[in-house]
Amino acid sequence: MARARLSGSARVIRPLPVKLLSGALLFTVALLAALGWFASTTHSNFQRAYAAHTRLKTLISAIAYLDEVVHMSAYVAAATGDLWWEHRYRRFEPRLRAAVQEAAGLAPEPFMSQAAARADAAKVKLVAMEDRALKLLHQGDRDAALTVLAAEEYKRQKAAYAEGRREVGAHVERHLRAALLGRRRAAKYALVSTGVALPLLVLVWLGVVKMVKAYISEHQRAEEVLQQARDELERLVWERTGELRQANEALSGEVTERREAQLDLQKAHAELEERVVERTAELSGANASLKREIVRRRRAEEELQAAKQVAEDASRAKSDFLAGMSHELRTPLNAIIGFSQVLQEQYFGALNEQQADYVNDILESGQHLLSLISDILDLSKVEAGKMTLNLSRVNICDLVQRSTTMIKEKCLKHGIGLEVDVPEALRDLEIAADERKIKQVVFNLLSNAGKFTPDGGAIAIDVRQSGREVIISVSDTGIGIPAEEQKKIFEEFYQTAAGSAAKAPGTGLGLSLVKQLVKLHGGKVWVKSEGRGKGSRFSFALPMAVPGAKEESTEAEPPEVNVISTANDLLACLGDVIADSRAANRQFTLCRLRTEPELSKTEAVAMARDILEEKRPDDYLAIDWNGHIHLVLHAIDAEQAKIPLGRIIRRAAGALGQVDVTYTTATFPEDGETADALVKKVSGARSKAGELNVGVLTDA
Amino acid sequence: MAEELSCTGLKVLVAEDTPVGQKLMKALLQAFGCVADVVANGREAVEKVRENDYDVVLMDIMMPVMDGLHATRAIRASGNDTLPIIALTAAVTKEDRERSRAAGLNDFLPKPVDGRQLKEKIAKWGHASLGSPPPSGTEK
Repeated sequence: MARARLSGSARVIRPLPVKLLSGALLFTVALLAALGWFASTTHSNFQRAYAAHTRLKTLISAIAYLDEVVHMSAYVAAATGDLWWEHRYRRFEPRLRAAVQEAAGLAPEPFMSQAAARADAAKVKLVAMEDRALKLLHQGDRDAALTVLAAEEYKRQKAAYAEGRREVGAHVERHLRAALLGRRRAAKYALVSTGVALPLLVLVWLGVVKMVKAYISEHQRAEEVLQQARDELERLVWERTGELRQANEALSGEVTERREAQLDLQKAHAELEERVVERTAELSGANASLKREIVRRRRAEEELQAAKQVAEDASRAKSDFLAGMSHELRTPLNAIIGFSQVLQEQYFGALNEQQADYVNDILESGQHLLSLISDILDLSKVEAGKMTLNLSRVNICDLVQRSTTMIKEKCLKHGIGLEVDVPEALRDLEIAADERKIKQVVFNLLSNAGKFTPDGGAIAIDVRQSGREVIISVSDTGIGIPAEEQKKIFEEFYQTAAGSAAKAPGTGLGLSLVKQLVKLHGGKVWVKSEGRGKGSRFSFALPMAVPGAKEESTEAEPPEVNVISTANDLLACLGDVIADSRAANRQFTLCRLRTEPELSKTEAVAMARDILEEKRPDDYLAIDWNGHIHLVLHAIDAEQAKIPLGRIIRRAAGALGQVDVTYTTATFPEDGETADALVKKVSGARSKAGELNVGVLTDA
Repeated sequence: MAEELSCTGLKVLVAEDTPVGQKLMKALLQAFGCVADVVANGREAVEKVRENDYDVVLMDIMMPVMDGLHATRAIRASGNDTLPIIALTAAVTKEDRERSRAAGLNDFLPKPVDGRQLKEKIAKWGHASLGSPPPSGTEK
């Protein structure tokens, strides 16, 4: 606000009009000079005129006097004959002439007039007559001389002269008066002009003074405003200084605080450094122990690897042993069962009743032993990972119906009701499964049910669909299973307390085998029982890899699949991938997945769909209709590829029932620089690239 | 027993190394009415086949001197590719089955042998080799 007022007052002060002032000054000086010059000229002219006037008057008087003197002298000389008078004449006559000349110089005009000329002519005659008289006098003729001077002529000339002289005198008088008049007029002009100029000058200077006064007062006002502004400014400065002082005090307080804080910080820093040193020591200790740990781990890993090798060897040895044992057990059983049959059939003569009974016991025991051996062998195979699924399209309802025939006879014999419940909608349901193994599962469950169901009881088998699973359940009204035993019954060689006392004891392996076989299919098995004597319900769920609805479209090309007819297309794609990988300086692994048995087109698509969920956007997936799947995993080497492949295989197994999926890999760049080399590596030497029929699944 | 199929009169060679096994096979084949020759190993079997004209061979696989697979291959290699050879073995794994098929055996019977099954197979293959369908249910 103060600043606004300051700038406002500053605008009021106008600068002094220096040009105007200097103009006025110059004008004044010029005017005064002109007036001075005029006055002094007038004055000198007047003085000169006055002097000339006075002189002329004197000269005129002198001339008159000298005329008188000269004429008198001449006359007296003539009259008296005294020469002194002549002398006097001679002396005064030049003076008269000089006076006349001087007067003529002073007032030429009157002396140039006719009167003057007449006077002069008269004079000349007078002088000549006087000269003659004087000469006559000199000759002694005083009378003659007197006569000359007394002559009429002389008198006349004298009068003419006097007349002329008087006229000249009057003329001079007029001339002088005119000159004086002129001078007086000039003086009057001078006075008038001075009288006009001086007030003008006064006026001009009054203006100037007024202007200067206004300037000065304005200046003073501005000065006052300025002073006010200055005061205001000072006040502001003072205030500001006060504020600043306060701020400064606050700041210095803060600075002190900061300094203290800094000190604290330094202290903390020092502490920290100490701690860092401590930690570093700890860390290097930890590092060292980590290194030791790493070494330990590596050793452990090596040991693990060795142990794995040992385990694998052991597993192989075990399955070799089991196969051998199976053979060795079957050989004596062959004789036992064979001869029992020979006896039972009574080929070589009849047996009595008791003998026939014993032979029957031998045969049944032999057969029990045989099933025990088979179960053990199957379980061992599952555990050794040797059990593979022989997948085909299985109509579950047919399978269930056929399985029941195996115990139908027994049920009839013991008065056990047998009921099969399959909803109409599931009659044609087909899933990918190993028929023989699923049959074994159903048979095991049914025969268990038959074994533990008392005469007059009931057995029911039903099929249900739940989401993407088929659930097959076998219920009975048998002895039931207490809750605490329900989990154990799927363990090997576990038999319920009631079971071991049953009329026809089982092997204790049936349910374990059921569990394993169902698990192989990617399913699960469970039991529900209210308790002892309340019957039990065994269920197992199998994933429906290919739902029935999709079955219809197997003939048509699935919309997601773009078929590329030759392996050259795969090679071309791989070529592009190789080019890209090289540009990005990265690697990738080509994986070829194989299934046993070879998948149908539909199954391959189903499996590839599952793989799509596993594959990353950059990965490339191709399948051929022989059930081989090619997967290009980006930025992954063969070792790393095992992880996603493991997942893919688990998924695939889930999707298709338990299929046996194996894989081969080739990594760019270790295993080859060309698409051909990679494909050859994963396909094995047998496969000729040109024979592949390849389809590509897109994400669409 | 013999209502359905008849093996009567079929000439069968049994290759079986264990004496008890040989005894059992003799008993069964006698019961079926077959004419049986029994040898103890593959080499003898090959010789017997060369010398005689059999309708069916029951071949054990695991035998000393020469096993059943080698013997079968030898028989097939000698140009006899029509003689029905049935594996009769206690080696019952899937691989065993495949190996026997690959060696040229026509069928597979696991031990312990089931009398009825054995009779069916002999009848089936014996009459197939004779070029006529097995007579069914007519003979006592």
